[in-house]
Amino acid sequence: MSQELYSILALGARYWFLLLLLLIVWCAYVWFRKDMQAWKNYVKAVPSTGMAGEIVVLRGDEKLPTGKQFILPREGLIGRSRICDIQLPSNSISKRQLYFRLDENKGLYLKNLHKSPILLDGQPLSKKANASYLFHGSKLEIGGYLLQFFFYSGFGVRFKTIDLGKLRAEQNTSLQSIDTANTQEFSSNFE
Amino acid sequence: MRTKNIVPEARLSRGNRFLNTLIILLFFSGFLLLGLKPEEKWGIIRILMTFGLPVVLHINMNILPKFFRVDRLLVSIVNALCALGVLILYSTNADRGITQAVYYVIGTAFMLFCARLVRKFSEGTWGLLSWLLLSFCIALLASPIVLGKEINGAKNWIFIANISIQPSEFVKIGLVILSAYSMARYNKVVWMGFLAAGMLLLLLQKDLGAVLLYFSTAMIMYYAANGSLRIIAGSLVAGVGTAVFAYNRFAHIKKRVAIWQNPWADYENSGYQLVQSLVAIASGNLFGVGLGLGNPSAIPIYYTDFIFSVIAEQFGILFSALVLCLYALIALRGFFIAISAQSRFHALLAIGCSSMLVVQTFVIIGGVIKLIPLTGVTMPFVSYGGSSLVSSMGLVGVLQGVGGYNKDSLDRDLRMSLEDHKSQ
Repeated sequence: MSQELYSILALGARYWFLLLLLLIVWCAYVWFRKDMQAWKNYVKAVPSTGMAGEIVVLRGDEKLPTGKQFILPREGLIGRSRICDIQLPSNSISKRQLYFRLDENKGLYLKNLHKSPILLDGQPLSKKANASYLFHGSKLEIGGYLLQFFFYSGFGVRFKTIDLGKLRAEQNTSLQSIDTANTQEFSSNFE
Repeated sequence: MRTKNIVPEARLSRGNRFLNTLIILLFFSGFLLLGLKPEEKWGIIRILMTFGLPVVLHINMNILPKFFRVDRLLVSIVNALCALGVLILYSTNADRGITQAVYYVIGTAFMLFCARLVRKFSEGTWGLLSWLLLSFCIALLASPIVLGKEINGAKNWIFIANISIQPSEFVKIGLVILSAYSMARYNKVVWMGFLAAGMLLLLLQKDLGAVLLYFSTAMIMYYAANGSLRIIAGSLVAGVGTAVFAYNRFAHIKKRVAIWQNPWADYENSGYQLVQSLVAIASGNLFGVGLGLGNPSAIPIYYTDFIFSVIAEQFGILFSALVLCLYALIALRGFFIAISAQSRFHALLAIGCSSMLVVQTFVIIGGVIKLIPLTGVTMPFVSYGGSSLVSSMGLVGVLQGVGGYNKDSLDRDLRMSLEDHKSQ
């Protein structure tokens, strides 16, 4: 093939290349959009995707009403700062108070990042404590709030036994101040 | 099983096959056109390149994803970019094209290895591994000071048995993994020490492009992890301060900035490369001068840093803008993977990998088209060079691993909720 013929061919081929690349980019973009939409639909259909469970506020205040529910991701922070997954608007709570991570065979691993006192099922959770876990139905007292944690079903985690009668009695009598002796009894039941 | 209809991407396979066919068609016609070039004769290597590379593309995009759980869209885009690199290098110099094709195959294997690594080791198992990785990275970064020779003013290469390796390229992957790990664990001190030591070692080698890349990726990851604007603003001020200090202190940085301000002031010496690059882009015009034509070798070292101007010259500026769109799609896909990740560690890994690729592309293409001062980094996937191609593929491999991990846990969640549904 002569040089002239090749240059004519090459000049013609550039439009072909441009068209093909345009189609490639368009197809890839459409595919990306469809995939994203499919993912959004999926998350809508199965809202517990990627989530560990939920936290219910048993005792709140004006800023955080009693009965409010938070959905917990599998890993994150609890604290006052806006970047926390669970925001608790109390001044006695640090900006980043608690770190949690789902450990599927044990429970929800919990670490206190600051010195402020936290009660986990009546037991104080200090900064030095190395491994504490939240179970299904565990209670957390933090900065004047009382929170209860529930797992979504399906994880092979241990369940905390709940005595419904006792729970109701407790809710009726002492929602304002947690009865430590009572919860310690709970924990000993569980152990 | 019912899960197949709900899991994303499983039902999109037809669009995927169409996209892959288009990519194979583009590169097959490109290599066929180069094969018709009059000055060269048909030989075994030429036949291998013309018909072999489309087969490699087919294997990589259509067959490998059946055996490895990878993100098919990312695989298609990355393979298209790599094949573009091979095509453009082959059109200017056949030997370089063949070498690049070999690196491309090695890079694919490395990508699968990295994907496997990330999926195999979840965050909890990185404890001891991260210390090993850290010391390995520091040793790699320090090695050019002892073993290296100076090329183009920077001493950042080591030579082992005739193969030259640029360690700072591979440390990128280590940097992303270590940063993600330490930020997920809220362990900043070790990370900052590592970053400072790494950047100091790179400064000693005068590898300014790598310093810029490391710094900006680390800052993006830090912002993604903590959302603290104050620290980012502080570090930006520190970065600008360092840049101003370096500008006043080092002569070659001053020269770079002067070239950027006006390359035509000294176009026969220092500004020659950039002027030739701009001339090449301008002569390419909208549609280019045609594949295999033009005069790319007028630009000194056109095959690594200035590959983008060669693409713009031969294919035109519209085609090169579409190539940029492919990079943008990689970034979008990477951030999508990060959003759908299940843990902080995986989300940060995905953010780190995609921002590293994006920043690198911006720095080099901005330099080539005289948007920012030129710093010597390579264009990911396209530039000539084994270290750059393999490490970019490794970054994509990490992204693939996170994507595969996401899909695994999506499937498991779905199974769990279906069982839950049945039991009710």
